[in-house]
Amino acid sequence: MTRAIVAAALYRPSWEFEGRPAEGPDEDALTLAVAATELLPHRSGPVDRLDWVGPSLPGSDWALAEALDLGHLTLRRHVGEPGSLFQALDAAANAPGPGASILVVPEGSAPTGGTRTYGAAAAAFLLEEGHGLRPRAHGGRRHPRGDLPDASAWTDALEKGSGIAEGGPVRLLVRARTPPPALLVAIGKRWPHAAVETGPDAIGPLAPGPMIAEARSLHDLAAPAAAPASVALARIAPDATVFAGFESTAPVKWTGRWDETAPLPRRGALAPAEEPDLRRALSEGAYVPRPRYLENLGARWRLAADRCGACGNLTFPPRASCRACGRSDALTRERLPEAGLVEAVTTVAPGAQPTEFDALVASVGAYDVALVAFAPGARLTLQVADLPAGRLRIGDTVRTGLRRLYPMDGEWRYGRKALPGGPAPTP
Amino acid sequence: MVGAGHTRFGVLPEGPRELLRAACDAAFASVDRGLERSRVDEAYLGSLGFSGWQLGNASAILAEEARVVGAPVTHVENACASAGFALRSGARAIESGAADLVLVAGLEKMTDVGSARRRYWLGVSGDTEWERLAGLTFAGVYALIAARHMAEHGTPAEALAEVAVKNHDHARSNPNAQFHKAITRADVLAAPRVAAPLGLLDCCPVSDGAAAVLLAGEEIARTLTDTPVRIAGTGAGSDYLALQERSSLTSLAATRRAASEASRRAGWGPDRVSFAEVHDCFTIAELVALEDLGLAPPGQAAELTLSGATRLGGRLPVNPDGGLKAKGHPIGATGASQAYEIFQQLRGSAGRRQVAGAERALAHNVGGSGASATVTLFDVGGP
Repeated sequence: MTRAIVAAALYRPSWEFEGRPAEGPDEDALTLAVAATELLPHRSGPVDRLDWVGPSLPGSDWALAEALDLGHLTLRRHVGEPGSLFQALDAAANAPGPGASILVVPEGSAPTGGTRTYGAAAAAFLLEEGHGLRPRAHGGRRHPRGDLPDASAWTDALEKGSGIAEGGPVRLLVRARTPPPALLVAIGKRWPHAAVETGPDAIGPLAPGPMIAEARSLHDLAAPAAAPASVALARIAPDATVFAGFESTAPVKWTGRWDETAPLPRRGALAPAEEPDLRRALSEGAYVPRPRYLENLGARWRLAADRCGACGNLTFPPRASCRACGRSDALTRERLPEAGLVEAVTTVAPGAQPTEFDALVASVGAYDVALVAFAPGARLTLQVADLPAGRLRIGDTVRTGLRRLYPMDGEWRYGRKALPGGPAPTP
Repeated sequence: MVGAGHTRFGVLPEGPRELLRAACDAAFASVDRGLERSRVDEAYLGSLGFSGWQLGNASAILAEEARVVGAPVTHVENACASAGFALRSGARAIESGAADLVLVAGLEKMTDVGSARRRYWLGVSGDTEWERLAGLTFAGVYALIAARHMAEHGTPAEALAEVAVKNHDHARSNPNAQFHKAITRADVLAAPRVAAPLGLLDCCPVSDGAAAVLLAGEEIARTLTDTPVRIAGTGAGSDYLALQERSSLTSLAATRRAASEASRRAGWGPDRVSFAEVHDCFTIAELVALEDLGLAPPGQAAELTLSGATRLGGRLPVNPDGGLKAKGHPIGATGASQAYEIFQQLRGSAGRRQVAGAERALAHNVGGSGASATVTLFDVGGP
């Protein structure tokens, strides 16, 4: 029994830099991966395998699993090369046992530094044993350096892909909203150019017809308007075209904005700002030794709180005993609700920020900080992301997302920030 | 209190040693019948850390500059309430009979470092992990208190502005104050925002300065001056470091506890004072203090302030010396500076800012956003 894709989620940042879509100043491959995965529906059973395609994540492989609270599982990183996504899909689908796998494809700057990434995005797939979308075959070819791709770079691959497409139309994965009987994924940043340069014959096999229900050009990364639904996937193979075949036996739940033609609401334009040199990001400010940071990850990354079985009080952040009754023998960990209510909010003007946020202020200017109540006794001071300063009001509902907080001791430190919207909090 | 000394507050050329020396020299010189320094048998220094120049064993600097080397000196650090707690320690040393003569000094040197390092020191007394590293300095924390106070009680921005206007006006009669410039409500409301709803003129300045007071047991005090000022009762309290963990966002439990303890020890309470020195690091802090001290019902400090009652000449003058807002706020010096003002006022020697007929007063000193606080009640003593 193999595992099949039962849900897919896509997260796209909504900032602009130099007129192009770009990741936010507090986003990178790790936060993108977490954001996409958190868009997946809640899993019915334990996840025993986590694959991702992309850059090394901070600390080591554990960061993503820790942020997602996945416990012990098999972790596999697949280096971003043509075809990696499909090798990873094969691996995730063929994992032994009855569990579930998550595959994440983050495309953003590496957490260890680097410049801002245009068209950043992340896709996440949940694979479970049973019916769904199954990867069947893939193929691809790297374009000859310096040349436009020749038609064979993808017609060859199409032949492989079309082998499993018998008996039904073929669609592009990223366009599929309803379950087709089979699906063809075609990825390649140069496709539009190729189509123009090589003429209609070259893309003939991909035109709508008996084989293909819908064929649309994937975006070119260089296009200023690129809304990167496919970009996260395309960047895996920046100089290649890859095709893959799927067969579908059950509907897939798609979440996030997959429609590349619909513009995302833009949060604003980022000003050019120096990336902090992480090696030199020694404190001219408050200092949090690394072990103190690490011991709080449960609370910082996943909003873990302690529920006291004796008196029912919720203590956040956890302090090893109940804040109300002092008992330490009846505590159980539970996650705070997803949404909270803003009790107070302030807009911190440039110059009034702690020094750790100088780079953020250089990018976005003023930012908001809110006191958010998630449950009686459980309040959190959260920086507000993805909303222009001064918009949030007392009484608004917010949700949270993992973001970069501050650089220290050669690394980015991460934590939750308040994001606009979310389900109404439970009273 | 038998003597008190005070430097100018502001951006000063003097270093920490010169400031301490000047404040202590002035305190000794103010003792009516003179005091041999060798009689000091205990001393306390309130300071945060004067920008890291002498973090450890800073008490020795006080011993050296006050010329009391040999006497035990304790460095008390409770952020902006350091000297309030130093004063309390000094008073209790005398109360317990362990000491006869105590020197209490407060000091901060804040303007001799670059702006990044200064912002660091301004934030070190907040909750590092959950407040500062969410992006808040103290202006931001008090802005959250202000936003909530405005939402819960309908506190108007004009009331916050009036606190600044009044304290600037008071400071014009205080030669030691950092600012001598009158401002208007319109100035305050139009000033650039620092952390909305607080603007630049809602915030106390960054200041250098020192103050010192000399304490003696009542019998000895009567031999040193005919007009000592009596510490009638001290109180203090604590609270959670981070605002997010406290029961209320608009009231400081540490202040309420401190006021209650001080009242119990003095046998009378804040309702009896002729004037009050309260901790107005931000304009909202004065309103919250008035409510926590019971000088205004909850939510009604704005009304009291806008009525003019807290101005010099009003029913209950608050911060006749200009407060932290306009006199200046060298963090570790503030608690001692408040005691200095009360020493002058209750002896009728406050000059143009004298509160007529002042007989009782209180000093209220808060650490950070309320994790620690002291309330001290003073009167003129006597039979």
